[in-house]
Amino acid sequence: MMLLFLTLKTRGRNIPIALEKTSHLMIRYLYLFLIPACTGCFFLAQSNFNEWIFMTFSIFTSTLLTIILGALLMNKVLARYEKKPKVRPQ
Amino acid sequence: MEIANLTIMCLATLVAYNLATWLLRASKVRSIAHSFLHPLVIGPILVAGFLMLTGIDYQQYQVANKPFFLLLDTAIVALAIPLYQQFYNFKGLVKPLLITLMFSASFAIISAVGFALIMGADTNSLLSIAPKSTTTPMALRIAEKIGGDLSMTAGIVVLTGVIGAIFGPILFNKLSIQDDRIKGFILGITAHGIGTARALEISRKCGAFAILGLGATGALTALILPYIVLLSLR
Repeated sequence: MMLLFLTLKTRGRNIPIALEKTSHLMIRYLYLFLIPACTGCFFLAQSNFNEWIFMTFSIFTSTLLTIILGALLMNKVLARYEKKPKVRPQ
Repeated sequence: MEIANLTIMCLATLVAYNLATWLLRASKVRSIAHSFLHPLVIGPILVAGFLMLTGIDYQQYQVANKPFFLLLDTAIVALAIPLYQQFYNFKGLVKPLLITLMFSASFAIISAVGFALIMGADTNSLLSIAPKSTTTPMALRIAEKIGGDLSMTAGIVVLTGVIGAIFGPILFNKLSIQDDRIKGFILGITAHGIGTARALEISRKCGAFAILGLGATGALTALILPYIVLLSLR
């Protein structure tokens, strides 16, 4: 992904139409490609059920906390950062 | 016989996807219920149900669906295009993005490991849970390096992505955050590929920030985590 991005960046021209169409199609069906991988999480519980509940709980809380704190932080930082240039006179 | 089986299992994925998207369109619900009817929730449930009914185990299904895993890797590469097209959005935002990235990526790891530690998980589980906010291929590479359980890591990563993609938009709503840049970046950091797919659905700008978050988190985790683990295990 980074390689393709850097290639495009260094070329510095518009994206070839064929490439854009392909990528658009790929991204449209991203969910379809994700389904087999996602199914895997239903079959993990079989191995060690007791531990799995704890793990799920910690993943759940940590993910939610990260989203909340991260979003609030970025909101703050972004607001402060974008205010700065206006305050500064020339 | 073998080929027929493989085809059926591939077809199951396709049918589940189509049913799930159809269901989403047919049920005209909004807001919270909309998130739970997502193709990424319904689809896997349908496939899992099918596998349980027919008694096929997941390993077999995984082998049969190799083409989808392959296409997934390709689709991740295709994400470079929207990133390139929306690049002008990042200009002059290096500092706030870096601050958010540093905090969120490290907090994701610390909080997950911390909670697991409190719950009394063993070292092996802790190592498997640590790379949870990177994309699956990266997470597997990292887990390999630091010595976690690979199949466990794969499951944890996917679970994190699904949770983030479902609850992320709900939480943004609750926190009244409307900026697509924030939504995208946070979804990319916490919920990697699955969150990015969700972000691309919100808007192209949102998607581009998610892709940036996904790539940056992966790189940061891959660079830093092995050293942290080495230090803490000593």
